[in-house]
Amino acid sequence: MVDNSNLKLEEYRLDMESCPGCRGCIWVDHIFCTGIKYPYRCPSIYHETFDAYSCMGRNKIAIGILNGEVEFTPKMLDIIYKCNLCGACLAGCKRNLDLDTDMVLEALRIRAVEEGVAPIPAHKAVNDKIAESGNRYGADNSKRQEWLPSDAKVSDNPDMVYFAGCNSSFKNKQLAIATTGILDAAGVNYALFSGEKCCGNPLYESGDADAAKKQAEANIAAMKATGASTIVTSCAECFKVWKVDYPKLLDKATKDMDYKVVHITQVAIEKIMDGTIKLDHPVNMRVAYHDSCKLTRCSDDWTPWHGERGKYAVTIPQKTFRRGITGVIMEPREVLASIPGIEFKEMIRNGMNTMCCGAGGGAADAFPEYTQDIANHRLDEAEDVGIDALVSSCPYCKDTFEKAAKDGDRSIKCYDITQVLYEAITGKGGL
Amino acid sequence: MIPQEVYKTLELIVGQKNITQEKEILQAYKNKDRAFVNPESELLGTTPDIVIMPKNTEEVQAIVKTANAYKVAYTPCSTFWTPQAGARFEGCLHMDFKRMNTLELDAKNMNATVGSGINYAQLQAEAFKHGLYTVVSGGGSQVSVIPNHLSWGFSPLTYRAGLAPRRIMGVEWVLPDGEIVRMGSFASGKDGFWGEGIGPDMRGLLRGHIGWLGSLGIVTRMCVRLLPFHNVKLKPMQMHRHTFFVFPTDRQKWYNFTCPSTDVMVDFMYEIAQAEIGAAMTRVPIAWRFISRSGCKENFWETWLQDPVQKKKDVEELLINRVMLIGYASQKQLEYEEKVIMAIAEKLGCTLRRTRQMDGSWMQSGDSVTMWYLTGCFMSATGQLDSLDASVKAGAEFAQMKLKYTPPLMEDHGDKGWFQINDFGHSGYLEFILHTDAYDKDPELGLKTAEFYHFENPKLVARTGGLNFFNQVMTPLYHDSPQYGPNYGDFARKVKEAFDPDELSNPPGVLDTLDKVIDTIPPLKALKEKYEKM
Repeated sequence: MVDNSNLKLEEYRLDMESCPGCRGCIWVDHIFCTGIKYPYRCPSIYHETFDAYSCMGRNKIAIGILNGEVEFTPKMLDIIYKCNLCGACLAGCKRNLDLDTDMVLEALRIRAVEEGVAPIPAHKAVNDKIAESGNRYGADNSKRQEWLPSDAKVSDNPDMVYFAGCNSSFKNKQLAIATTGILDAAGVNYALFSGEKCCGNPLYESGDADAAKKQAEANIAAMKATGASTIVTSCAECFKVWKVDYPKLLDKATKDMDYKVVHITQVAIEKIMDGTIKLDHPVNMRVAYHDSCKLTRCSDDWTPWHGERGKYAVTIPQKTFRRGITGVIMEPREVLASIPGIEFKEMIRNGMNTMCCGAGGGAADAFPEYTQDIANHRLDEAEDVGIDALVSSCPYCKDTFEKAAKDGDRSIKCYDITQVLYEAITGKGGL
Repeated sequence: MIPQEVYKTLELIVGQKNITQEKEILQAYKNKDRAFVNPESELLGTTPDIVIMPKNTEEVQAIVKTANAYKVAYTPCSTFWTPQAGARFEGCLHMDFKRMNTLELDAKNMNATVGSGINYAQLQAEAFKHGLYTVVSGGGSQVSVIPNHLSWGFSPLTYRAGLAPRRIMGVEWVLPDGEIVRMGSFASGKDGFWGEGIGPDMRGLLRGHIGWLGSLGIVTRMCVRLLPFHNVKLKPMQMHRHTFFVFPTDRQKWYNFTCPSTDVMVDFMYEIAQAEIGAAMTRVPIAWRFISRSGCKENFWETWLQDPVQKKKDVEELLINRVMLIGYASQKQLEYEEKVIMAIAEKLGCTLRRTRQMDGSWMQSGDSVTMWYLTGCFMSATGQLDSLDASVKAGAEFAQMKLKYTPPLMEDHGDKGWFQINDFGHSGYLEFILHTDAYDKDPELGLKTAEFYHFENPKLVARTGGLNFFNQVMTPLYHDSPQYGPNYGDFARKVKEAFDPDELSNPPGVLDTLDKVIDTIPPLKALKEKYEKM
């Protein structure tokens, strides 16, 4: 049973009840709206259409659960879990109302697990693999770092630890190779840690906060053993988990953690700007950047709040609101803009207005058709922009787009930004 | 409970994917537990039996005809912003128009034909692409274009553009019995160029008091006039929690003037209008400035309640007329208008203040939702559509009355409301915005609020000749209708009876909602009896 009040559904009753139904949670920010073709920021409502598949609808469902008016039926679980936890509602609602919509959605899942109706089977299968093997694929975790090139300049006394994550360790190994190549070119003092296990994102997003907390404690302990104080990730989900969810699970503020989290693009742009990283190999390509929701909207620092509400429900002490606008947005663009040969174009929905690739929130495991539909919608948008390749900063985005492009016989290429940057540095990115 | 036979018939119309009676989905359409502090949702709000999503007029017609055949009542809903758009009765068939998201823009003839699911942000964004614009009302860019054009559509931009109902060029209307009527240009042609059509033109009937909000059938398609704008792209930006457009200052600018008195401000507005310059104009209530500068609710309250003596003085003396000038045709137009406005300001002793050349409120947003966060709820006590002088006078009266009800109403230091000028000076407008504490559940305060909302405020509205925005569709007719003439209530009811004898279109009738339930709520019934004796 979760004992952290910040993860309890009851904690967010006021947020649910304060929703007037403006649907700011589903639309692209109105100022950034570009017309009728791509009006939604929320993938769930785009796919399912009924209001239940929006944060506005889920708020009412959550009130119903708290009031004992509705139960966790299979359909209810479909509604709760066919959501990418992508922060679209967070950014939308915070423009006007400052309601913690993202936490309503997360707490709903935690409540479902507490009630014994979740994790849903597809998520349980992944969670079981993590419990058994330490990674989401059920692979032999002792082979987690087999991808590591023999010439990688790994330090025995690092300042920074590269947390590769399950996907790049076992599936898209070229991303991990590219990342260490970038770190080598950057001349930073880095290492990997032998005890690396899955970051726990699937556990947390399935609602199993207890298991996620244990995963957090294990990974943090392993990281501390290296003596480094900075974690670098190339995976948007790992980034968000280390920066936001670990402190959340441990009831601490991001700023009070004993480590700092950076994304590889943040390291890279600094070293590109100071001239350490040389981009000698032009990448002649028209590209657009897909903002991964986890890196963009979901990565505002976490600050726990334990207080009371005063007149007009003001928070005492004042809550630090997360609004989905301080994530890693500019650095990937600056990296791409600095690469010779790249012709950069913005997606129609970009930055805090991005739409998830469709995989987030465990949707790819549980609802592959849903994920595919969202990915295709996003690829349509990319093609409207007129590009050769769609670049993202998350291996799961890359996988999702790659599959949709292949299944749809599309000519568009899908890359991770580490691949593109590694190509520009070494000419060996294999693009 | 709607019979399964009806469900099966409706399913044939829209397809299996677009209709549901799954209780989990219906829960999301529950018209209760929303942050509207009014009896509409609190007392009448319920969960629909069926939700259906038609795609076009023909499907709406078929649904309505089916509903008539089986005597099933239905509630139409475009973007679900008002409580009246949700289920307010048992056995409701709820129509969600999200899929009716068509927009055809005729740039040459400056109009757009939209379906019920199109909101203002979408229309404005499409219009901008062609050097055109529409007026996004204070209701916000999240609201649907069609129903908003059937009410009033106020914004500072109505100063030049006029009221929304006057910009309707054509209407496709599914009557409560399922027949289709096409009016305006749609009556005689396929496009919306003319705006007039072979009679009878019933667009006024559709608007009536403040629109029928679904209780007189459903407008499924509407052609609206667009207006010429400059052709420079407005750049969207984000800073902290606020998003806004940065103005191209050679073509579009805000000017804030401090006026020495309210009378001078009124003269200033009239003179600007007489010079036929400007795109938007409004008095800025002081609280708006604090809202736009506050980082969060906590920040607002901390600053707004500081130094109440000074705040009261500011409210009295800091009289700001905010004017937007646009060089629609050229930079020279803006330069000319700036010269004219500065000359008028100098003559009247109004002083130009600094202001930021950006807009997050009126061009493509509309701020009704932002206003929500201060106290969890707001409603507008009145909308005065009369002369500007009448608006100012009414504002002073509302401010005076509000003092008696503060608390429970939010402290606003005696502000006299948002007033502005419309139609180049031909009419004025007052909206008296009031916030109540949505989180204070003290029954005594609740009763005092109810007394204000349902009895004191309507009386003042009636006396000052405004529209009762609090109770726009639920005020007891004995308060509201007399101001429109002795027979207004009867006439409105007869219209409803003529078009919808079985009361299937969003019952209870738009005019009688609260009348029908007031006697079932003991505290309100007691208040009603008290006021009837007065």
